[in-house]
Amino acid sequence: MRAAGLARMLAVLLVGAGLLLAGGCQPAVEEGTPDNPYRIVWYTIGTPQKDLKLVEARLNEYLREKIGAELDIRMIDWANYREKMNVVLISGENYDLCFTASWSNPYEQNAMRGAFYPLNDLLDRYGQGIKEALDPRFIEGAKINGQLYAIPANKEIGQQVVYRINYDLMTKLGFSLSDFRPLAGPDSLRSLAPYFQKIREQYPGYTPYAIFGNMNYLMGDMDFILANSGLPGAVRIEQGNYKVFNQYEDREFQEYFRLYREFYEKGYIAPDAAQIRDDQSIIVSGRWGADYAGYQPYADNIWSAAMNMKIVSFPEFRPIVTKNSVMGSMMAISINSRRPDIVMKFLNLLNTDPYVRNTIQYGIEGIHYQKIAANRIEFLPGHANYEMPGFSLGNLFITYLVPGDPDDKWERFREWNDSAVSSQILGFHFDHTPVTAELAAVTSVMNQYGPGLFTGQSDPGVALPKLNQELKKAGLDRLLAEQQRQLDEWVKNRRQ
Amino acid sequence: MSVRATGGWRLRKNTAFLLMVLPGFIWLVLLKYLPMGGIVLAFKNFHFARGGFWQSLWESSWCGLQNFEFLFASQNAWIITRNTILYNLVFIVTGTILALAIAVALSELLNRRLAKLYQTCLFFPYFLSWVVVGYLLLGFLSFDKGAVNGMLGQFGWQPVQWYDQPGVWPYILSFINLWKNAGYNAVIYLAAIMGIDRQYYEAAEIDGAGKWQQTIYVTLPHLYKLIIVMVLLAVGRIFSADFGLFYQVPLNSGALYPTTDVIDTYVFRSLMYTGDIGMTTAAGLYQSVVGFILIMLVNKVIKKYDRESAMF
Repeated sequence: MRAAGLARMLAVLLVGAGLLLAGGCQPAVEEGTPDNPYRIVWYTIGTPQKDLKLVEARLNEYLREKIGAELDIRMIDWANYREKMNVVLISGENYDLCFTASWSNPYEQNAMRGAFYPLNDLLDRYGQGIKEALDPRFIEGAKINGQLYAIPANKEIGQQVVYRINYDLMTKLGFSLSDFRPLAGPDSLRSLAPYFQKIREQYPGYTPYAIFGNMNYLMGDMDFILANSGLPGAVRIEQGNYKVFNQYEDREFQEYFRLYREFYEKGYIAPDAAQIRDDQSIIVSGRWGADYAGYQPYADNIWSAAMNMKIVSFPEFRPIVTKNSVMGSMMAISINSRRPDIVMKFLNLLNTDPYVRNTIQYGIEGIHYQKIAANRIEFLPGHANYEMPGFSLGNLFITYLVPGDPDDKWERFREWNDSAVSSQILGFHFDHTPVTAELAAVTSVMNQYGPGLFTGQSDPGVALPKLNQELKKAGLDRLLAEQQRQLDEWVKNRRQ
Repeated sequence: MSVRATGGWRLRKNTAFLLMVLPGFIWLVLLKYLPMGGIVLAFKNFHFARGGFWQSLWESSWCGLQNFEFLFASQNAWIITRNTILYNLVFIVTGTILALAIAVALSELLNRRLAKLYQTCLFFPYFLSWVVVGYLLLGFLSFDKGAVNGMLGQFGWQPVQWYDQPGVWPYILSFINLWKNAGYNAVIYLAAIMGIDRQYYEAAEIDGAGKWQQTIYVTLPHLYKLIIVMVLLAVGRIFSADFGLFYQVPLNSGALYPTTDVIDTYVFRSLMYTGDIGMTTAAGLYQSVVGFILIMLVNKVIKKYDRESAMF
């Protein structure tokens, strides 16, 4: 008797669990009105903020009237975002909107696997404001086979590597910015050598060139097919030459590794740099000479404020619009969203309505900030409870200026964007499914040799030939051939 | 009495015990058996579809063994398999011996208070996360700031870039693994030793057996079965490696891969770009199947020599 009861209990539990896993069904009701608003579940990146619910409630009052929607914002911290979103996507959770980029919750891979809702039609119907606000290259560059799967944030469109200099140290040692060579590729880096040498002599405890084993920044005059990964497959920026090649066999690219090695042997680079992927403590301590970073107009001001020391910079290359740079920050609608139309209406507001855009970034007027001019704010003490990463929240050009921002900030952004040259393969997205095994093996080889090369810990004379040999064994030729095949097809289709 | 009645009687008699097992049983079914349905993923080219996970799984196309290819396609297949198995063999042998030694030593301590203190100290590393352990080790092995190179410098020797020396890492990793896990396993053996009837030791003492002989002839024979169970469990995992130990502790240093890359770290690293769930499932399935086969084999061997001690 009791045994039968036990069995029944178990059965109920199992069936219940099965239903839970399968995801309960919800009855269809008319949604999207001020009385019965549609709840937009929105995953976004950044440290969760104390006052998020407060700001959300304030915004919801407005959004209910305007588009019949409410927000349910869920913030996931930087380091966990990629992994948590992977679980959200695979479990098929009914969320609506998420942050995606080339570097977290990866846009290309997820869009090609069908995780995101196709947006072309929705954009035409409900997203006219977005089309007017954004540089058209953002949308063209993000399209995969002609279909858009996420709305890029309107911000700096190009990518430009600059060398950042610790200003006080530079002047103390008798150097000025004019001593370095801008826009000269590897020669720009080489021009820093005398400065590094002086640091080594006079400040032995300092790290002259503070870089770590990341493989994705260094650029050269080329664009990479597997964005933001350091994996082989590159095309020249110059027009008309669509030959895909392995950048690790490229002479100019190799020049950087020789320089890194020279710097490493002279003690300009930290000996553990290849193992320590990211060490902010060196940067914060101020005991460093230079490093590199991606530029945007007035970036020196932002860096100086963030590091609490004066930073100046000079560029290595002209700004280039690559698919990597247009995929820096985007927002995608889930394939499982029940009302993608309402979500697109919200995205349109986020990119065009200054009230929505600024509330989500700066919080509530009188609590988190106060206005001191039509387009300029000052932070109140409440700001500490609501500090959002602005770049991940849509159109930056309609956000208020904060203390330290020059009046012409957004004009300068527009000018800089206009000056940026487009990569000729902007808009080409590689589908890796035909070569997954090769790609996996190549990724593993790159992880083995990359960090050592990119920090000078390995001698490029030995490591580069070894790397290229191992890449070949891992199936590099098939990978490059597939990249070339897809690129040729894309070029052919685009001409038509 | 029919067989059925006997079964019912047994159930009734053991209800209390069965209820104790129930939570574990439910956990096992929910988290270990139900997800096995996901094994299908290993043979599918996973594609998201509207309607959730099961819909996506249903609509994804079959792809045969394509997801397994990356495990064997590369020239690393041999290295990672060899590393995984050799490390695990070393860990099983050294780990068991050290844990037994600690357990015996602790059980012989007359001062119980001190014994508890030692036990806690030995147990403590088990609770540290691998990330912390990795950076603790960096404190010793860092090229310019590490304690080891500092000591070498005092003797006038050249500093060594430890994260560039694959040869020494099998020893370092084995040592770290022992340091972290031996205390935990020792507690299990210690509990078993505490359960041995003291009369055996008294009898042995009267017969003139010293401490060493008591250990060999009384303690170990009592622990024999437990040791076999523990070893069998470890053998089942011989194809899986402790990810944190092999990824965080060597700081994912590329130069060390020849001696630190194991199946789990290889899978993680090589799928970093594609993030393909079908391929990760394939790798997990491969490890489990080989582990299962090994458990059956070892159990069979034990059965052949000592029927009583085999697990099933």
